[in-house]
Amino acid sequence: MSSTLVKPPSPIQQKSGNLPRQLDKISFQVVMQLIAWLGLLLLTAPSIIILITSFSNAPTLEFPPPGFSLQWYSSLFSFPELRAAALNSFQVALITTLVCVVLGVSACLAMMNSKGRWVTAMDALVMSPLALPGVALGLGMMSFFAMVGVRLSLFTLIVSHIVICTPYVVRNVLANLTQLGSSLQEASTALGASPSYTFFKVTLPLIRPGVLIGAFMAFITSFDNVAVTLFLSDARTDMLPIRMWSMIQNDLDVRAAAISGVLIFVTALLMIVMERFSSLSKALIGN
Amino acid sequence: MKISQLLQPKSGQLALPLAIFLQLFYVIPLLVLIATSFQGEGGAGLSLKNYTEFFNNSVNVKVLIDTFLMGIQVTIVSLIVGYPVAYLYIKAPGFWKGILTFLITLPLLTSAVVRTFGWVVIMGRQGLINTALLQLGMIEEPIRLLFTHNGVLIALTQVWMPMMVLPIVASLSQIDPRLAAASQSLGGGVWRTFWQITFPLTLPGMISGALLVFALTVSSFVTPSIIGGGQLIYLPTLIYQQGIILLNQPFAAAVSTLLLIMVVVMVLILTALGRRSRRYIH
Amino acid sequence: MKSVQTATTNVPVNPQSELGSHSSHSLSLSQVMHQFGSFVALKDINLDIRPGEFVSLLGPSGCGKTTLLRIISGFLTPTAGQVLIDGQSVRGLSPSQRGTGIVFQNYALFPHMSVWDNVAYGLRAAGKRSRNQVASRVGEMLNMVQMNHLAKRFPSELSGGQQQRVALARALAVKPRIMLLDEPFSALDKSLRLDMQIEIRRILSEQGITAIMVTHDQEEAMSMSDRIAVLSSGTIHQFDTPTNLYDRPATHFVSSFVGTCNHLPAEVLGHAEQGYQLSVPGGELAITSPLPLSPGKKITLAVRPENLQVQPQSNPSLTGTVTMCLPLGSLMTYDVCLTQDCHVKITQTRTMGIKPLKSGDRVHLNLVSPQACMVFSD
Repeated sequence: MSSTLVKPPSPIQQKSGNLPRQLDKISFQVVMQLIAWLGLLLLTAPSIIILITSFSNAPTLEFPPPGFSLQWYSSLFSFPELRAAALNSFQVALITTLVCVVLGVSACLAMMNSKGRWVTAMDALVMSPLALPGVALGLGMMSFFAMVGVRLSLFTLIVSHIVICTPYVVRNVLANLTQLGSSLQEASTALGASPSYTFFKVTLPLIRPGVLIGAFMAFITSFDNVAVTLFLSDARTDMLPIRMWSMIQNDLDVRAAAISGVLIFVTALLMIVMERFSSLSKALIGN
Repeated sequence: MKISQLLQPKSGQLALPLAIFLQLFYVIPLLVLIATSFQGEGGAGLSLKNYTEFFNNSVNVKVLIDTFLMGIQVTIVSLIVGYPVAYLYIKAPGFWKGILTFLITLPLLTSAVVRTFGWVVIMGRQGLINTALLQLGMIEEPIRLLFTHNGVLIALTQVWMPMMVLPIVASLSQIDPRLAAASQSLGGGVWRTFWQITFPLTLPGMISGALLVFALTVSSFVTPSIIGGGQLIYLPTLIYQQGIILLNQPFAAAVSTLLLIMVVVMVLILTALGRRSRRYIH
Repeated sequence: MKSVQTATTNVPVNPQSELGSHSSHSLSLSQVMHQFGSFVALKDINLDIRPGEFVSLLGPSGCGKTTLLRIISGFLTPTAGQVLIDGQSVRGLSPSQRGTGIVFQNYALFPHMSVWDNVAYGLRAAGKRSRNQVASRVGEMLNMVQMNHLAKRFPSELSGGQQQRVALARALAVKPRIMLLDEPFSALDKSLRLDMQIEIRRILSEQGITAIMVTHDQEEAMSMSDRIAVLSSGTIHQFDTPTNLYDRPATHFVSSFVGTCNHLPAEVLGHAEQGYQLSVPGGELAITSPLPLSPGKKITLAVRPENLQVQPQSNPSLTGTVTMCLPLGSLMTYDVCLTQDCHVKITQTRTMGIKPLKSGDRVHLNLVSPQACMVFSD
């Protein structure tokens, strides 16, 4: 009988008098599954539609496309402004990620090994940009830089991106460190290792998954950001998401679909790579 | 100071660089923003001028209410749709779990611009929905979906729903499966077991999901600006117009402060609720 | 309840400890006190551990034994008091400078390193040894714990007992002055524990290393230790050899924590031939006591189950009814009801051919000898 305790009774064991019970179960399944599949459709539809559209052979945006071709992808090659924008975004995201990792990991080490009240305050401070409106942060930082007389440049842009991307590094690394516990670091110390030896030989190799995932999410956040970037980049620096945003907003350029296609492919590829190296889904889903 | 001393496990000094960085480039700018919002005529003195100006114009007040409503609506719809998705994920067998993980997290990691663009294609005059409805003969004229409140609502729900699904999945996975078994062995039906056992135990997950979805929705700029076009305005768009296009920074700062207050108040309320809902979950 | 006796440290000198003393080290704790906020975790701890001795810190969880271990190892600085190794204070020295090796609970093996790299870790971290020196020391250590054939494995590929051997080898490789063991057997299967206890004890005495083990398992402490310090709520109740601890517990707590003990409320009636006559539930008993007892005094009488025996009716004795019989291997344990709210447990060796008692039997109990009991004043 133990199996019936774990799973709901199977239909074979049920007698004909159990109709209300059957109805109860079936109605639950139907309602749950129906909404869930609707939800999954909602979640995936835009990406799938964009992918299909990007292979369209039509001169304007329409769905379903009359035929398929690679013309919009090949048109990207003769679009030098786009390449410059992508390069700028890549550069900013890379530097942002590196600084976030250095600042974030060292802060996590301090937060992990200390039990003071300041840890709670620090945690709230680091995480809060996640929940605050990017437009407001961007405006505040822009006013601040104007006040102290710093002109907008790649530097101001990177600074603002560090503020909004550090939470991802700190959240993942801190979770990894907490899971690791302090006993391995203590074991290393007790064996005579110096703090830096302990960090590079024991702690860092073991929190590498958290660092990688944090860095990955920080990179993506920086690369895709529009709200803060609008306020903190100078007019001459063209950033990819901003360019795409104006392309879509102004004239529904089909080339935007091809760029989107490239971005979706790259993201999916990176996700698969990250999954191999450090189980990204575990960090995102948490089980 | 030597690097080995800096890496001393007990010292909090390692957090200093980040703390200083955030104080300088995050806390102070926020204070500057709030201070700017109280700036009077010609940049002199303290005044509530920007706020009275905001509330005296019914268009602005409508923007404020619309933004708040949008936040609430997106939160509720993502909860209703996201909960079954999380439930499906938890019950799915191994192989499907991998597929579902990919489907739930890929939207989260692709840029909001890309995802919103997908909605433009779906909702446009020659888009998927209009083409389908026209061919089925259900409508004679293309219906307007772009540039409507409901269009923005659908797109924003898609953009932020993963933030609702993930905490609920985490919450669901912590529930001891024997509890549902116990309820059913005591004669509780499937619906009863769900409403009386599973649902209350996942309240913490739902609340942290709601917190994220609300905050992210009212702060959204890209999606409303594309789907809403020029006519439908929400607070972030207003801030952008006033701050960058009209260069009226004190007024934009006031709007930003109001938006910040909206987010912070909601976060505080939901955090308090979350703490209460967690008391019977260790 | 207050203890009548204070902790004694009169112990026969262990002759072996003199042999290994040239390489062994002593450890002393003097007036150690520790507070977490307003919570006093340890108070007035004094311990003198001789070179080469194996000492256990025994107590229930939360008694402060782990805090004490962390103070000795240097991970925690005591609020007051001194830790002395070979008579010299180690205040201000980091864990690595003290020369204390630790075998952690759950072993804390580095999961990303092979067995060989784990054992070599401390030698490489010190950085003074050549590749060959490291290799020969690691080989020596792995030989000692018979793990040479598994040197390339990773910790996750080892059984619990094997992991523990690696943890021991890793801690011993750097030649610590004092070895600390934190609940070393708690993660092992019960069947494996005794083998590992014997093996670890053998290795440590061969190396002549002074060792301190934290445990809540009294059998473990009794079987391995030269001496045991019993801790409860931050104080040392008794520091003594295992047999003394069992036969002459210093406090009510020790008598109940180490082994099983019946505690009976008693009143002194008067002097008997060599001792005292007591009134206890179910009858009277004659005992001897090292303490002077005045008539009318209320005391607690502590008697181990094996020190009560069934006798034909005699005076003085206790009368009761057997309520439960529990056959436990070679022993038979009975629960005897003396009065409605006072039960005692007695044990007898099970011998073939002798008919055991059964539930409902009326029995008369007496001490095996008048000394076979302890007296604690209320």
